[in-house]
Amino acid sequence: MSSVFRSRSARITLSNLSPGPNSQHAQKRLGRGQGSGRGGTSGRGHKGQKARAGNGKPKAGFEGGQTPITKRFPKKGFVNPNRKVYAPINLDRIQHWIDQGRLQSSPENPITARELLLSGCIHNVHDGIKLLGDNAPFLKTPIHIIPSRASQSAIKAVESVGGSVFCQYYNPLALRDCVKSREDRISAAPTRRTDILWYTNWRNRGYLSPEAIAKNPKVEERWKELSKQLLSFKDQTFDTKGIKKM
Amino acid sequence: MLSALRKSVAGSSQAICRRRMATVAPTLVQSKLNTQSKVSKPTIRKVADPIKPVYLTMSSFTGKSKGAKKAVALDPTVFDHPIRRDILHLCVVHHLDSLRQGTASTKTRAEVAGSRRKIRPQKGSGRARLGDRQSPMLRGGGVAFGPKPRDFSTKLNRKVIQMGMRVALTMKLREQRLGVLQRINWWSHKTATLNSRLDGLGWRTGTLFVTGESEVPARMRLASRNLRGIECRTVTDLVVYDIVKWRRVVLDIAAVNALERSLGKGWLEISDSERVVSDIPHSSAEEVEAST
Repeated sequence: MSSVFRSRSARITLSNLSPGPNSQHAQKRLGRGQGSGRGGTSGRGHKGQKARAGNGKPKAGFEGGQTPITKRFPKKGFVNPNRKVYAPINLDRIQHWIDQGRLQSSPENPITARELLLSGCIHNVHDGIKLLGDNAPFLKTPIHIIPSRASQSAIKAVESVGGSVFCQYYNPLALRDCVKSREDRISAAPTRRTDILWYTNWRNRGYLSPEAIAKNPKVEERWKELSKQLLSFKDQTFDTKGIKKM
Repeated sequence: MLSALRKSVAGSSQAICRRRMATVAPTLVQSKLNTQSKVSKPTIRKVADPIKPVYLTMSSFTGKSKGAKKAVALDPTVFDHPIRRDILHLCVVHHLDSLRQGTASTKTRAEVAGSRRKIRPQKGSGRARLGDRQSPMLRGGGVAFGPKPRDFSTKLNRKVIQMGMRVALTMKLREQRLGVLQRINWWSHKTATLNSRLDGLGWRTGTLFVTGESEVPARMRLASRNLRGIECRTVTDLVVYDIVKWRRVVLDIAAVNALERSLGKGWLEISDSERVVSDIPHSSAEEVEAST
């Protein structure tokens, strides 16, 4: 009875494998005589640029010899390699997120780019987050936050309700580690002069400023040494002895 | 009569019971039943079956054991896949492409050593115009359009390769050319002992032993390495081509675990305690008597 349904096909070996039906195309054989249908001009039509070997097209932007548009007008503008795009985040939005229970913060577990991104408060961290003070009076909860940058009004508003802001430098790798919550790598210190000056300044709540080193509960040992070295220039004086005055 | 028929339907129409499509399958089964036997009340087989493991009788180096036969439970998503010969072909061609050396090389006229001097004047000699001695037209000249080293390997999507592996394992199982051992090892490192044992089992011709351990056990490797038609390798080195090529494939339990981990859909978790059963549950239609 069962043999009605069962049909034993031949054993599958290397010699009886084949591609799926209609899955293959026969190669076009050009210039193989009249009978093939692709003899003569080999499907290229008669004479001219397109009948010759090679691409048969002028390069992109070529306008037949006329000065192309890319050369007709002078260059304008430039690309700033140091440009940073910060994801803006305003205080009222943070308050709203806290009210909904989507964000929490404590001095030990401050809000970072990771928390903001995962809670949907921002959709992209870009080059870091910048805390801004729009609708600052709405902020009622003390928040503890580590952004890349913070505006003066935001700092003032956060600290007036008992929170804390420490602006930390993130290069792209460090920001990625922050978002992925990886802690096995040492995050890079600022190297550009403007960054060093910015992040060692307490006015900006820079994490390398002596005040921040003293106050920040999340301070790392490395930052203490960094802060000392990066600020040592302030005490240094030039030894002018022995230099001839012109 | 009816039960036999139902069993045969279950066994033959793989697509119906595998796919578990509640909308299509009942009507199909029903119509088959109606046409085959004049049953007044057509019974509709329950279609949304729980996924059942495939059972395969365990093989053993000691041959037929006198006690009760053990069976091994296998994941049907790996060992009961619809057969796709075209996928096997893709995998085999992909593998063989990757094996091509692609080192054939000839010298073009630019690479042939020698002077670039014009060998005779352009005009007046009464003979053909010629440039230098390396012209492909001349003896000792370079080769026009000759082979140059190149990479023949082709790309095949990972999921296709994985599917190929499922198809190949299923194919071997259905052809009754798949065996499962508790562990692939041999008590001696002497080839003669293994040879006689394999002769007795009928495994001497074309058997590939695949172990899930990190290396082939030392004594097994030493005993088998000079035997023609026997090869041992680890499951990480296993490719679809091997399974199609070798007449018989024998896995160990660790290899089965590794294959199900990498290829299985995870619909059916078979724990270590459920892996080897002492008697095959007779309700399943997938029981395969291992002839290997």
